[in-house]
Amino acid sequence: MKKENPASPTVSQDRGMRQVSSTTSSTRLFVEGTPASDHPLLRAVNLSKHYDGVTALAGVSFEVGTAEILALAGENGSGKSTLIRIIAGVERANEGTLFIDGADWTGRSPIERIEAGIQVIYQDFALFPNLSAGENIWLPQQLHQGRRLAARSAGVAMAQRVLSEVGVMIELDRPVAELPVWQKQLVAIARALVHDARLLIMDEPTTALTHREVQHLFAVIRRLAGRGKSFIFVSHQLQEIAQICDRVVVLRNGSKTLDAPMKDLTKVQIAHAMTGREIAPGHYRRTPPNSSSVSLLAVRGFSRYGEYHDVNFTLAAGEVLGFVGLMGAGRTAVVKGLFGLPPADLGTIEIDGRPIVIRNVSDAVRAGLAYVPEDRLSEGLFLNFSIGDNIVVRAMERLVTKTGWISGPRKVKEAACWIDRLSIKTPSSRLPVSSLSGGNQQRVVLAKWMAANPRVLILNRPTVGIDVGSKPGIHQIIMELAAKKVGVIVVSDDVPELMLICDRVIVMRAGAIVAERNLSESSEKEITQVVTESDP
Amino acid sequence: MSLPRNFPRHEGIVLVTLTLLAIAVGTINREFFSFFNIFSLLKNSTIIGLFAVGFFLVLVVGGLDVSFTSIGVVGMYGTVKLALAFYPGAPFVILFVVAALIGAALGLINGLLVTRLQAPSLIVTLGTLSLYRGFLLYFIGTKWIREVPTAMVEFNRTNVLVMTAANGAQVGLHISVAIFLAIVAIVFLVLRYTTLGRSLYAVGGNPVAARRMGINVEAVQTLAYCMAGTLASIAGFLSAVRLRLADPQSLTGSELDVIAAAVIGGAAITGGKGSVIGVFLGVLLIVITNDSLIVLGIPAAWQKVAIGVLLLVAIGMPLLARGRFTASQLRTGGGLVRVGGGSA
Repeated sequence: MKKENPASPTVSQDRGMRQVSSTTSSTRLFVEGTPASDHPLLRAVNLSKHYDGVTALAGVSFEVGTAEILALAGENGSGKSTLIRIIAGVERANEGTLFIDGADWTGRSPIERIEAGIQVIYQDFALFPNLSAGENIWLPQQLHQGRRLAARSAGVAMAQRVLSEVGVMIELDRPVAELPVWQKQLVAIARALVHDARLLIMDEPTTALTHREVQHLFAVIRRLAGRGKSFIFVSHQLQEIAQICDRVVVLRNGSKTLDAPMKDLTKVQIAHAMTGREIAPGHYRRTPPNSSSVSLLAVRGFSRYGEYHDVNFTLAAGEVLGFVGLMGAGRTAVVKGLFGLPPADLGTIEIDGRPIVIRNVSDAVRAGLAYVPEDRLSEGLFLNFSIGDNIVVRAMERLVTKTGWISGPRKVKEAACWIDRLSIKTPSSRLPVSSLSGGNQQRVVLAKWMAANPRVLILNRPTVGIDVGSKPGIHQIIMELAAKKVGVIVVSDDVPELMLICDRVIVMRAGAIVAERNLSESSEKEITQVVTESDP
Repeated sequence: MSLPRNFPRHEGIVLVTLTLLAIAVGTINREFFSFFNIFSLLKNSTIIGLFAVGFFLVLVVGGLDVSFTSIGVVGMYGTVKLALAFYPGAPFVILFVVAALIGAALGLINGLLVTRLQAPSLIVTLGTLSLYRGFLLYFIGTKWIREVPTAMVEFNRTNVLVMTAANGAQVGLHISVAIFLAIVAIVFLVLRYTTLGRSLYAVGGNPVAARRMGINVEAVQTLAYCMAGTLASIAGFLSAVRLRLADPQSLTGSELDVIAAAVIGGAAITGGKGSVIGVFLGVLLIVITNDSLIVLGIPAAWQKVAIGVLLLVAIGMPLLARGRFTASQLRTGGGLVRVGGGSA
């Protein structure tokens, strides 16, 4: 409250109060903001937050206007989450003021902010998996209205009205647990809209989505913005920010380093604001793998009913092979098939020219394969175990002493070695993995598989959910592995990324390989074209 | 689209199983479909059924309450003791309400312990299971009471529906069955058509989200324990009415049947799933299995085996159903529901 109080605080206070009553009586006085348009919908002035002497946020000011899509970008630890929590009212700022429609809202509770139309859609969506999609949308509203009886028909009408506003159809009777991620997200959006949300803060909404689903989400966001809803889009995906946002606010170490309309910016400028250093992408130079030798991995006639058919490819030692394709193209299914998750119905796999049979994960591990899943939280890590234990879990046989016990000191040493090599940022290998940021968790998954000394490393979307600044680190690790004659398969949606690290790219569509390109002879444009060609 | 759009719900499967079992037993033993047998099956279902509905209510909010037999026995013995000490001529309604209140109080203690201690509910209620019964035996009494209040004896003679059987004998539906069915109906309506009932499911499905939504999670959970305690105590009281005897050592040993009935009926141990109808069908399935095996001359030891098998099948069924569900998704090219959010 130090400066920049609104010109007429009493009037704006008044307006704030009126608004609470207006939403509770479920009239939509201030929605599609007409009368309050002389004030921005949300205005943060000089917000600061300190935790035990550590500054999480240092004097951040910004505004969100009606129908504006604002990107809030920044690396992990830059203060994005703190800022969201302060806006949502879950945390109090130590200094600074927050205005909604020009009224001081700093001291208000989270519930009051929701009533004012500010809603956060968290990454986990906070849905009820056991309830139907419809009930997830209408139950909170009905509870909020203080109803004793659940009015299903009124709820269905409410949900349908909102979904038509969003422009999608969702089977309202299906339990949320059975819905795909992107539909869960739409349910979360619809639930917020039922509650007359005017500003939707979406926390990293695209991390769990494929390229196609992201485009779908963007269409929804644009449509809602066209109807007067505002968005704060929290992300560190430059591509996405450039595509969807009107304005970009970048945080770094708790301070605002950029606040400008998207049209005046380039991705390089945003990346610079996020990382504080120039990231100049270029292909990693290294000697091409020796293609004349026997292939490290040869896959022939690889098929699984309903997922992929007759997939043939080879991988040389030290080669980095990219798999790209749209959702449903079968690339993930193929690489998972190599790892026995589940195995293919037909086809042969050879390693060093010797045929092997892979029926399950143990077979694959024994054959020297390693698979780093895209969903590291549910598939890759034991979140409550220590970082060290997670790293060495695949390398146990090397850590066992002659008497058959696992050697504690060796374990600690091994873990320390990987933490150092992959520069995992942690004070101790004894902390649980859940204490790490997304990028560092991904490094732990990598370390776990690298510690097993695999011959072939399969990475599924290795840099999804990782900062711009951390990506080169992951890429560097992949390059080092290739230099050590490990065959690397990378599944990714990100063609520019594949261009950066791969020797060769295989394009899949509808369960079959449609193209194979050596990247030394191919352009990003050409690959993207093959991927999206005859897009159904 | 190799599977029907609406995958048969759990209750449907239980109903089909129940029907098949009834037909099988009825074919072997014609007496099975007599009024006498059906009425006695329903009567045998009431005590287990009331326990199971209470157990299910706690399951819905994501807890486990195994203290129901102890609450039942304290409610039964306590009510009879109180009545004999202060008001031996008490009308039935008063006795019933006292039993319900004792159960509610013990359930409240369970709920407060679970929500305040943030301890696993199984452990807490195992503790209170032992605690309540021990308290009863030490402080209240260990002797059988054969002279129960007259209102209970009178009430036990009441039938709500009297039918004439094929052989001309009069058979009546015991009034405790009516009480049980009324409670099932009330719980069904509350769970299905009130925001409170839906909040119970919401809390069981995702307590964090429920809290963010403004639901008082602890209050809802405590209420569930409270309701479970009430039902358990009513069950205990009704069992004393039936036997015209208050036995502080009774009711133990019914835990397996009760838990099996709830789980077979489709309640998930992880919370938030199932319906009262399913639990009711599960109870009937258990009771018919128990009774008909006796009728068919199968040794009693096999009852345990049969119940165990039913329980395992019921637990396995959702897993199988889920497997088929994802398989159908893959075949139709959706491929979106795989664990771990597969992308391609």
